[in-house]
Amino acid sequence: MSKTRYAVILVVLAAVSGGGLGVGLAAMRRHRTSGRVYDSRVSHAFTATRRIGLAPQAVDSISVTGHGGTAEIEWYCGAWSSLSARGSSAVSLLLDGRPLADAVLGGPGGKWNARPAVLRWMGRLAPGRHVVSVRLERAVGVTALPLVVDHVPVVEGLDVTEHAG
Amino acid sequence: MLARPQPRWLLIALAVLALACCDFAVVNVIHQPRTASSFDTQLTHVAAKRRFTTNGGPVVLHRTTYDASGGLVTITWYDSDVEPTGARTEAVVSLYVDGIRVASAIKGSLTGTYDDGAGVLAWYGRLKRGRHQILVRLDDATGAWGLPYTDPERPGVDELVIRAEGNAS
Repeated sequence: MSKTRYAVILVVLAAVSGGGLGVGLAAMRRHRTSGRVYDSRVSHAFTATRRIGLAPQAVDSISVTGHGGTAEIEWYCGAWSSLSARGSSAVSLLLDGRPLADAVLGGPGGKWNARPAVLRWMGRLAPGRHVVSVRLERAVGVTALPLVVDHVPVVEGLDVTEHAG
Repeated sequence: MLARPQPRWLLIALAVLALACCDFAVVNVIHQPRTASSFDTQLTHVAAKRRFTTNGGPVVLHRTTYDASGGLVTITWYDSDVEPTGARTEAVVSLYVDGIRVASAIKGSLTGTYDDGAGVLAWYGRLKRGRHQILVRLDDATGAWGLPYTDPERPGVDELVIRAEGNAS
């Protein structure tokens, strides 16, 4: 092998090594510093009304792992209703048993006051395991969570999205 | 003058190093887990009064084809003011994914117009990679419903949002 050819091969191999190392390190760095999103959810499709007669009563819950980021927690119910005339109810969103947000339904019309419901909270989620739950806190009369008519699927669920990093 | 020796081991060592570095780059660039995000929305600003009945059958509010990358998806329909026009009426809005009714929202009314309020329908689910047909429909309604109710010069909004992001925690 000529001296020149030997030198060229050495330079090319060194350049490939350096380039590969650089690209790999840059990708690692980008991965470490770019934001990550964690999503946990629980969702139930009801085809018959779920009646809750007594409060307080657990409605739903989910276990999540926090990463120290900002979380958006959303509870959704496709049809929240009282089944009693002049009935009312209050639902709470809780993080590890601590109330975060509250929603109230009331009205003179019983099931005629049925409506979809959203309860949303945003805040920091400390690293580690957490339990997000929804509870019917107070109720006058029987509450439907959800109300279902004609067996259409009505969804009740919890969605926890955390933006970390 | 004698030629300097050209050590073969140096070539081999550099070749091995180059291969290792290329492998390191490929592993980090291609195989690193990333957060997949996508967002699709269909927004309808409604400036004039828009009222629907289902006397002639269900009414399509939104229809779109969503190209999913595979994974968790949140689909939300929002209407700024769902307005009943008659007493003791109800409306059912349903979400269909690939022709299957996956979720419905029900709104009732005791007295009529003054029972209006925002309407929302949400579905949290998993979609396989590929194209999916998403449809939101007013499926059943007694009487006429404003979707949305609007005041003159104050447009309402009726929207469909499809959001996919994140790694399950």
